[in-house]
Amino acid sequence: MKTVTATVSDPVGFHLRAAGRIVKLTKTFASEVTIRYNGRMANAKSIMGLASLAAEFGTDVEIEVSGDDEEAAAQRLVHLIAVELAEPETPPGASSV
Amino acid sequence: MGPVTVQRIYRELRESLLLELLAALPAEPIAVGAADVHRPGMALMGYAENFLPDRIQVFGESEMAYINTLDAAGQCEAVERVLTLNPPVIFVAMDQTVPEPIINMAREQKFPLIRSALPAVEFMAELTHHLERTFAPHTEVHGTLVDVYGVGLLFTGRSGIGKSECAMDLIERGHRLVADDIVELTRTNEDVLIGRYREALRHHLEIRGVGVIDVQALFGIRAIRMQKRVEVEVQLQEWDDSVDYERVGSENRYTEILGVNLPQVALPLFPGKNITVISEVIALNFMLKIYGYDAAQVLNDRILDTMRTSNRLHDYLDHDRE
Repeated sequence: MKTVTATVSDPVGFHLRAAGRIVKLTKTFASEVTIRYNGRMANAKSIMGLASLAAEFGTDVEIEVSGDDEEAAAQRLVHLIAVELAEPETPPGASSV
Repeated sequence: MGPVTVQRIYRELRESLLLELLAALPAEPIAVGAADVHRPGMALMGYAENFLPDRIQVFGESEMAYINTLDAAGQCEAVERVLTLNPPVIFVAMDQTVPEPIINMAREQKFPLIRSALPAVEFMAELTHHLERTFAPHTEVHGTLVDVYGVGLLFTGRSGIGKSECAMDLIERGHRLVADDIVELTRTNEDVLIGRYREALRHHLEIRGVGVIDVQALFGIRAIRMQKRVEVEVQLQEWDDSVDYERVGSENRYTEILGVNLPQVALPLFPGKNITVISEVIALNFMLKIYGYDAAQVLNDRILDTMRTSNRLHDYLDHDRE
C-alpha cells in the first residue's frame, strides 16, 4: 500500500466533473484507491463518493493506493489532482497526446 | 463530526434543552471527554472520593437547595470543591436562580455555567442520549443501504458491480433507499448498527450510462428513508466457479462492523439473474428467522422425520415373517 498527498488544483474543488475525471483515470488501474479528506473517505472509482468529499481548491487530499500497479496509479493521480485539474478537460476529439 | 466541545453541545442543544448562558462561554474550545453526566451532590459538601474527574456536572434541585443554605463564602467554597473535579461545564437544571457569588465566580474563573429550563432528570436523560450518540463509534463503508420490507440490506462489492443498479430496481419495486455509494455507520447500541447517507449526497444515485439521478425527485418521498438499522450484508460478487457458494443456508456467515455481528450473504452475479427478487427473499428469510422460522432447519427436520418413519416401516416389514 502506498499513501501520497496532493493539493487540489481545480479552482472549484471536487465537483462532479472533476470527480468524473478522477474516476476515469482510476479505472484504468487495477489498484484499489481510497481518497481521504477532512476525516472522510471515498472510493476513487466512484463519482458520488468523490464529489461528496467536497474537497476545496488548495486543500490537501490523501490518496491511498493498494494493488499491483500502485506506484504508477499514485503518480498519475497526484499529477491529475495537483496539476491537470487546474485546466478544463481536453474536449473529445482533440488530441490528448 | 469533529471533537465534542462544550461550545458545540451548547450550539446543538440550545433550543431542545432550553439552555441559557449564565456566564459567557470562553472562546477557546473546551473538550468534553466522556458521555456520562454526573450530579455532584456529595462533592459539593466536601466528599469527593470516587467521583470521576472531567465529567459534566449537573446541579439539580437538591444541589441548589444545599447551596442556598450557605452564605456567600460557603457557596463559593462548595462550588470550588466541584471545580477540583475539573468538569468541562456545570449545568443548572429546572431554571433555578443561581446566587450572584457563583455567577461572578464563573465569570472570573471562566468556567462554563449554563442553565436549562428542564427538570434535572429529564435534562440528564436528554443530554446523555445526545452525548451517547455523539460519542458512539462510527465508520463509513463503500456500499448501498436499502430498506427492503423493513430489513436493512447493506450491499457491498467492488465498484461497478451493480450496487446502485440493484438499489434502483428495489426502489422501483417499492423499497426505500437509505444511502448509496457511501454509508455512514454508527453503533448506537451494543449490537445495533445504524446507517445513514452522507449529507452532501443525500439520496442521489449514479447509474452507469445515465449519470446522476435524484431518487426523491424522481420517485417521491416513499422511495427514501433517512436512516435504518443495518441487518444483513449482501456481498455482490462476480460468479466464480471455483467458489463454493452457500447452497443450504443452515449455516450462517457473519461479518463484523464496529464490533457488531451482521449476517452476511455472498451473492454471485451472472447476466440475467434477478438480483432484486433474490434480495427481497434474503430480507424476508431474515425476518422469518428472527420470528423463529428457519426454512433450512425445518426442511432438514422433515427429511430426518421422513427417514425415521420409513425406517420404522422397513423394520416392521423386516420383522414381519408370517
